[in-house]
Amino acid sequence: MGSVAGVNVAVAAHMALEHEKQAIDPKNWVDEHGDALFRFAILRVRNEELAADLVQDTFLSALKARDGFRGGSTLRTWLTGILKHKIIDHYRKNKVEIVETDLAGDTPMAILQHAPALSPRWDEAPSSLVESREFWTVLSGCLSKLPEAQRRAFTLREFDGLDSDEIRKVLEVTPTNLWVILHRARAGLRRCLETNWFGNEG
Amino acid sequence: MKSSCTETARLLSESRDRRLSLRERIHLRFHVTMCRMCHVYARQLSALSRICNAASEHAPDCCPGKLPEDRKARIREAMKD
Repeated sequence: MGSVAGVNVAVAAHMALEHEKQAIDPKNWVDEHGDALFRFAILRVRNEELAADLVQDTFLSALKARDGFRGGSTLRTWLTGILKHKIIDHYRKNKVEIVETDLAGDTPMAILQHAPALSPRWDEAPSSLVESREFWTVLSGCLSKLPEAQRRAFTLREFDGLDSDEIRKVLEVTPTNLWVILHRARAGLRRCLETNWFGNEG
Repeated sequence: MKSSCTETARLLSESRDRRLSLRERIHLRFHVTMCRMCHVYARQLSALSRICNAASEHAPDCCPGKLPEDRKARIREAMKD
């Protein structure tokens, strides 16, 4: 009996290793990670064609650089890191002009509209929000409505956790302008989410 | 609506991106304690950050949308070369 169990363990270990090799084999990358990378990109760039191009670039760069992948992190994390750089490169190569609405003076009512009534749903656990398909639709819609410069700054800050210095180098704006752009992005997104999700008890 | 609410809304955002001066911090602390509207706004900005954190983390699994099949085929082809 002991030897049979031993064989089973060996078989299981062998299968696990085979599975790992297959996962790392570039032939399987598109099937295993294509959708996840596409979603990562589409959340930020809001354009399907562009998101797909960035994912394609990511796979091709990863293929060339795959000797540099040493485990340690998962393949998914490694590919996502490459995609993040591709998105930043895209921003650098395709500058957007800072427009009036990015920096215009504050209209208090526009910023604080609906704020006095804090919908209890703002306190809902984010982990349950992200399980709702309807919430993704609203969040995506609100991100799409932000002017391009605001969306770039905001997603680099709040999704990717870059600091102000890193972001202003990518977007080539002064620190003061960046802070105003982020302020307007937060105000716009807050208001859009309040109107289309949190304030709506339906 | 007071103009100091405008200033407070701006500082609440900027406090997430830079270290505020002592003067600014005092203004913020004072105003947010006194003004219900700005207090709520502050809580909503915090919630917005938490939501974005979760969204960023879960997007690859939860965000609707798929890489279109024809693009997958094109990428597989390109990877063979």
